[in-house]
Amino acid sequence: MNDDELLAAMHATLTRVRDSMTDVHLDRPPSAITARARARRLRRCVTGAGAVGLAALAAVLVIAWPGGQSPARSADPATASPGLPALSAAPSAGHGPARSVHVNLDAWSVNTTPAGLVDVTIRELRDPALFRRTLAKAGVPAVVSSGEFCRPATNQSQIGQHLVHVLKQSTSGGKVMLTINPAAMPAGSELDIGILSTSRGLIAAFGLVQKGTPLTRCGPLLSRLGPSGAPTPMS
Amino acid sequence: MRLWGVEQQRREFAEFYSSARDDCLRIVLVSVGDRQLAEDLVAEAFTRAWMSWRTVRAHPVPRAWVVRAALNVHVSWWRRRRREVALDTQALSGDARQQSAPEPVDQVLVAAVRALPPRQREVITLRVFFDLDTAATARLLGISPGTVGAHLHRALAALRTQVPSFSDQEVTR
Repeated sequence: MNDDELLAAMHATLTRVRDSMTDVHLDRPPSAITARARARRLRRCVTGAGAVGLAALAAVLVIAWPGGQSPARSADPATASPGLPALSAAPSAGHGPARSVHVNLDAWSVNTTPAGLVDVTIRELRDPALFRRTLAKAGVPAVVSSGEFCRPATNQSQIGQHLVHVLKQSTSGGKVMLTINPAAMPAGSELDIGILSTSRGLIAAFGLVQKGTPLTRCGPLLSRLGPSGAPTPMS
Repeated sequence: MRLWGVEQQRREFAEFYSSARDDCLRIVLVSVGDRQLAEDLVAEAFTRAWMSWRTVRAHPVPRAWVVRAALNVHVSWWRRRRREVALDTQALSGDARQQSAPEPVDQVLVAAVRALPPRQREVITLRVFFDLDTAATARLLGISPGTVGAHLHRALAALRTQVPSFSDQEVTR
């Protein structure tokens, strides 16, 4: 029996063995595989940033809370801070999701939920315009800026006070995770989002403004850090 | 346009995964002999395939890419853990054992394949299950055709000594 004949005999035997395993199936769904890959990319990114960067990330995340209110620490209603109302209990003002949106990129994800909320995960933001358009499709009108945060020239605290009902955020593994309730956005308002990706991690700031209001008071997000790197209140 | 491209790739991968996962799992199971290990290896290989989807989708035999990745992962895990998976020459899995007991020659051959060194096992698997020629196997493994030929020759020589029905006849080459 030469090599070719031996290979042919092996092919017949091993194929028969393989084909006999009719009950052997891989039950993991494709989404589990892609999610695993996404987590691995994120882990590599985080590892590159280093442990120091991770520690700094938790300290430097800045959130705009009108009136100096404390930021929410969790996007999960079940684990939300006791002092913050659940998003589902927020007042409704007619900004429901325009359609079901499920966009999952390496840089960020936007997914609508059956409950009408919009789950957002930001790992990096290099295309703010695409991110803004995707949010708009999900029913969240927004102004998105990268590297700076812009506020209106006039005080809009009356609208801004609704932000606590509109948005909850948390951080995990170097990414910013948001849960947005479009229905809680006052009519004619839009979300003001500023994102900066630095070697120290993501810095994010949020506000709620009247749609179309010129945002003229712009500044780098890093300027909002205190001397120790801790977030400072945003007015 | 970019969104469409990503979603298109996701759909392509999902279709490929759905059509190839069972086949790849069974081939890897033949090679490693442990059902849970084989599932983990194949899942890991598909994860890597998705992370390198542009390369994999352009590959002439994407399933061979996945199986090769799974077997490579097996070697990596083994090196990391410094323990070998026990050979189970009696069956390929518990369920398979209940459903269809392989013929004795099948058992002997499967056990002999599993006992091969990793590289020889890879070459045999790619040649037997995917009908890859020496050049294609060499490209997939990233080694020279001559090295593939050497691995194949040694693997077949080992199998001849371990599988009686293959050594009963005179070697003609």
